[in-house]
Amino acid sequence: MTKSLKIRILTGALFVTVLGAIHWVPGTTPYATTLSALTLIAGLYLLLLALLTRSASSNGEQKLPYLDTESQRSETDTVDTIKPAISPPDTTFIDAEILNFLGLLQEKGRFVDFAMGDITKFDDAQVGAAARVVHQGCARFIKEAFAIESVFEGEEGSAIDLPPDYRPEEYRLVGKVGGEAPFSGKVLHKGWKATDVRLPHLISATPRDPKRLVIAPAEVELS
Amino acid sequence: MDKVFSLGIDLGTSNSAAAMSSEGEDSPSICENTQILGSNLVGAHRTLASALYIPHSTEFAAGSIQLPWSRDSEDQIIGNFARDHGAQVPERLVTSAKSWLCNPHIDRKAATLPWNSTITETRVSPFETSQRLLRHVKESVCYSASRENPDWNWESGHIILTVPASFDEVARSLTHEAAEEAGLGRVTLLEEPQAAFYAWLAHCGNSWRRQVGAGDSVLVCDVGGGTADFSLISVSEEAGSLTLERISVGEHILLGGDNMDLALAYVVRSQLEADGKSLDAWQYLSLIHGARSAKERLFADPSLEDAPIAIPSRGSGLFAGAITTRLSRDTLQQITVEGFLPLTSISDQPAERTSVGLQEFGLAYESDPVLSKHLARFLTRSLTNVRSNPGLCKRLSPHLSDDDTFLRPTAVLFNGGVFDAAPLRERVLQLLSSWSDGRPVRELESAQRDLAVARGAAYYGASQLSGEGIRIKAGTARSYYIGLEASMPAIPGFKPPVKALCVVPQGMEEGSETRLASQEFGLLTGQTVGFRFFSSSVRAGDKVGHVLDDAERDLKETSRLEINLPPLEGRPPGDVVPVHLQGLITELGTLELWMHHTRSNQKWKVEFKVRTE
Repeated sequence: MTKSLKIRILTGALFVTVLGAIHWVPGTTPYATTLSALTLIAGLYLLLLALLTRSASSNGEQKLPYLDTESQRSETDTVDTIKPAISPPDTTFIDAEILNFLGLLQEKGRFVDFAMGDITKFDDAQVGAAARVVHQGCARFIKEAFAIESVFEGEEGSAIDLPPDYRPEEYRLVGKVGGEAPFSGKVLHKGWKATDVRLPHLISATPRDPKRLVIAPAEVELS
Repeated sequence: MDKVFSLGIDLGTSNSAAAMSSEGEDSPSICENTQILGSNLVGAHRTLASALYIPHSTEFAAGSIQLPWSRDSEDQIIGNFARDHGAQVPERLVTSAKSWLCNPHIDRKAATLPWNSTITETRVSPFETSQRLLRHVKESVCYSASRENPDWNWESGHIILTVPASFDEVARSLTHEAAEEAGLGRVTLLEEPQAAFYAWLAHCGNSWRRQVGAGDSVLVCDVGGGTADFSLISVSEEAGSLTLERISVGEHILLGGDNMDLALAYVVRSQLEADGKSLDAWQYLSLIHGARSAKERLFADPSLEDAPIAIPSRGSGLFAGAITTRLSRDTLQQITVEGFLPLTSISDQPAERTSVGLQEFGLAYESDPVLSKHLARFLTRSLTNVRSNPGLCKRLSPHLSDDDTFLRPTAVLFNGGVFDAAPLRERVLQLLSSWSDGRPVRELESAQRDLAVARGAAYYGASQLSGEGIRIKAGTARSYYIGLEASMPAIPGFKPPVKALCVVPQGMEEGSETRLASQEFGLLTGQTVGFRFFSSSVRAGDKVGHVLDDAERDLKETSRLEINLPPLEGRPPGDVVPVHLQGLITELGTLELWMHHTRSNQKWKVEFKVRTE
């Protein structure tokens, strides 16, 4: 983000605040419509600036601004900005791997065909047949790619005591969440966790055409 | 270089695996096989399908079939993706190369595979295919091992490569040569059923002595995807300790779990067709997979009455085109248990393969799918083999009676993924017991039957390195003979029988040699001289120098032998040189034949030549 852009956004925000505050001043009621219009214009201006900021950041296509260490450094030199605590990883790489995973679910269990097909015009028997295809293929693939266990080993519906050092990523609390641990509650869903991941990986993480990511190729029979 | 680890490689007909045993480790660990799993996709599996796919040059984008250890794109795909994708492009897929490698009717170094493919530019030989599979296994092992330990070195490994017990000497030496050309170095060969037995020893530790005792004959019953391989190992006691000896091996039987899946799919398809649902070729392929899954589920859970099979549509319209059906337990029982392992009698054996006038040329698939009959034939031949040898008779004497017609196993060790199904194991035990007047036959508990051969091979290698651990006495599984033209007056219309001279007896151990000093041959110099070469797996009694009157009747022709001697110094070509024959089993388990000049120290190696008809 450039310095001038920041100053313009700050000015805009100040303007909106002032306009908003005027509403509360007694005697300004007759000018309410004008004030609202001004507020609207200021708001649109801000929105436009915000959009400009976003497109400026995505100009680099592959490199996101927070990964661009050089611009980050120049920023720190000039303006005292808030640095991101964690730098998120390269999303092109992650996206490609996730699409690849989706492709595998499609190849092994026709997952995309199932989700993309129009389900409304078919009766339950046909949907059931398709579901069996998806279940047969996806179950086999998932069991091959991960070692999956339930988080909570007992029966759903049974009581549980969570100690103070319970892991929030393993147990999600709902209902009256308050007070101090240990918490007593009832297990609604036993949860799932992978104890081993054996996924295949991409040979090249850079897609040939990032705009057209192929999940499953069209199949053509030659005779 | 000092060997610090042993590596067992199971180059299977359908699937391959590798296991490693490092110094100081108790049990061998499985090496994962890194392989291409799709376009632009690489991953690892415990097994590697023994399949080679040769893609068209435009079929995959540049760089999308590249293995992590190679700098360039591959022009081939090996492994599970090759098998799955190739099923839809059969003319570019090579499978069962190992069965081709022991097919005596083709030149195994000639580019003949994929068999019957019309795409000729991609053909490879069975030998070349084995070599490429082995190179892949090596590179995958090196890749993962050196990522864990940068100092890891292939050269410091003792490499054990398993071969079917039914492989004859030509197939064994081709395998050995393929391994060497693939860069594996000098590998030691081990029979697969023996490797499975070593895996059982490794699994039991010291407790194996409590599970078998003197007098036991253990049948190793190894049924993989495409082949069945049998061996018998006898347990006896010498000087207070138990000894193991492999006393007979079976023939190469092209019959396995894949045949069961195909039979199930065939029946299910005809049920569907009766309901007016037709399947295209692609849907039939997925039906085979579905039938296999349903079979595994029903076998694993005896409480299920049937299991669903879902067949996807070829196109993306899943709701309109998916077909489902069910495999019932009755059908499963009828097709697999009763179809492949019925309770037949011991005298009911598969018909000898007769040579019909015209036959489609290809792999010698069994015409009789009944495994029970093949097992009966094996046990009957085993007794013939033992009876021919006084030493073996003595070893087994307390447990043999004169009116026996077959060798009775007292225990069975199951191997191969097929026997993960408890009902099939029970049926084999029931069958054997019915042949032994109802006397029960024990099952030796086996684990991970699809990986046991690789594990057992690594265990065997490690025990060779340390010099500790029990060894199965084995030696050559067959005796070998050279054909001699009988000298008798010619009679019109009568072909004189070919006599055969035993040059290597059965049971000859690694690192030993025989020399036939009594027999002197005249060898023509300056031109290639050929001999016919025969073998037998049921003549344990024949000693070196033994002559058989009719080789074609009593023996199996294995290959041709060829030797080309340069003329001796100062002598004209065409001179006849007197030689002695020497047979030698190397430390690595391969057979070599040498001709020794009787009057000097000169000697020449005789080469196996595959028969081309």
